[in-house]
Amino acid sequence: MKIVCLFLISACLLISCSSGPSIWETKYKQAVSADLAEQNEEAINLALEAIENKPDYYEAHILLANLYKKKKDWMKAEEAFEKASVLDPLKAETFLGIGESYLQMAAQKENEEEAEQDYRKGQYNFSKVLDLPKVSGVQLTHEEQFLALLGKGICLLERTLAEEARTFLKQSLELDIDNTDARFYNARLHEIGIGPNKQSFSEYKKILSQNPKHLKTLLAMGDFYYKLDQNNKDAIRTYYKSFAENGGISKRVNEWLDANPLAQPVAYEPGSQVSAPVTVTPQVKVCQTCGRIYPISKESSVCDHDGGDLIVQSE
Amino acid sequence: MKHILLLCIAILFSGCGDYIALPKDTTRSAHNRIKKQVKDGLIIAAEDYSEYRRCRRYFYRDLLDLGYIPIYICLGNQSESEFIVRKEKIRLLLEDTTELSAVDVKEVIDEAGGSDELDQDYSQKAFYDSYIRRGDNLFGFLFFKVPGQKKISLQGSSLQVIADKKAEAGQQGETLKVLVIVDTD
Repeated sequence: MKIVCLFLISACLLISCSSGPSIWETKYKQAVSADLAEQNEEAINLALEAIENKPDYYEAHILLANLYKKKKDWMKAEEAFEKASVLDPLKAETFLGIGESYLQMAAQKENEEEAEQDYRKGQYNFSKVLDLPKVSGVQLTHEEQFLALLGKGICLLERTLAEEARTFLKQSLELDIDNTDARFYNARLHEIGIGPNKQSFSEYKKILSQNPKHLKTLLAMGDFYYKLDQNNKDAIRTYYKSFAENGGISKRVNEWLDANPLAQPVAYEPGSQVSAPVTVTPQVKVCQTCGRIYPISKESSVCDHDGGDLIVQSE
Repeated sequence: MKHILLLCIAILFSGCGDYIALPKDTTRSAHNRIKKQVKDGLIIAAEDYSEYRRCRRYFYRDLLDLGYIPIYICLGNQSESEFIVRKEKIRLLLEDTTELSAVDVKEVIDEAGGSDELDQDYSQKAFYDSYIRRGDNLFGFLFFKVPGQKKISLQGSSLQVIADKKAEAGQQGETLKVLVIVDTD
């Protein structure tokens, strides 16, 4: 009788264990639901509980990393992606996640040395993605390839290695010619190469007409005017202000705005919640051969670089 | 008998003088190189010489196997200013975030365990702290110690050079940080 009872209890236990979702699966599913319901903190806690119950649960680590990413907690996102990459070292998404986290962390750092280190770590992880097909035969998706090329290009460019960045940025643009970031960084690369020029300027303008909130372009436009003519404060202020108002963080921009506090009315796009740059149309001199832009105050009418004719234009 | 003796002496001498290494390539100065970096008129290029055959040709040893990475640095000055570049302020940054400092050439010579010729050749090829005046082109090898038994890759690595720009009359001196990709092609 005892034996029969024991057998029955064991059988019940076995059935209860094998049927129905495990606790980590339940927590994971709840975390996904919370994420869908935009309850980020709740979703994070549930994902953490899932991991606590099953530390090698790859999907839960990825979910947690993406939740931190949504929260813009890049340090924790990086940690979570890192743990996921240990569990499955052949997944491009983990290295892309680590790379992106470092890119974002670097962009927030004022200290150049620290930022450089983060960009290097980012570059390393994007390289890992690009090496995956060679190293392990893993085929990258179109998007993974694009993100890795763009990420590596950005890291190299930010590390001042512009020539090396060129190949990667160009390839990323070839994979997705409409991507705003790819377009922006290629235009910026061109500007770094030859200085303020018409091609980069018009690309920045196009990007802003599509996305007036594109922070990097707002900053680049402000810098563009700053390099061209520091006295053109209205134009500089317009873009720097829009950059700061839309969430851009830069110590030098804030310092410049504090030092140049003239009130400037901010124009708004019809129907848009965000501030858009007002149209500033100062006159400049543009080289007809290479497209370099010079301040109107330049006395010569010949380009310093290629001898092309400089024509006065309103931008 | 005399001939045999002469032959023995010849063999003995040929054994002593078997260090054969190419001189450093000074034909391509920094500004002629594709992978270079220019800052305030200071031009810097860096090239990896750790590949087995290349290393054997220039150092008669496989230095990477001995735990050293030879990097050829080329410097040029196209500005009016004068720069000072010190070996201790140059770092090799591997893509995996490892950072290496250059070691003294004497350490490499000791490890390579060579003859006087090797000693002389390595010493002559090494990069030393230098003043770079207007129009100067300098070349030299830096040797970086591989940490432990680590397997290293120089793909995507860069050289970080911190140079001092000498103060002109009425001006302040400046420190420049230049990052240049290491040419591994």
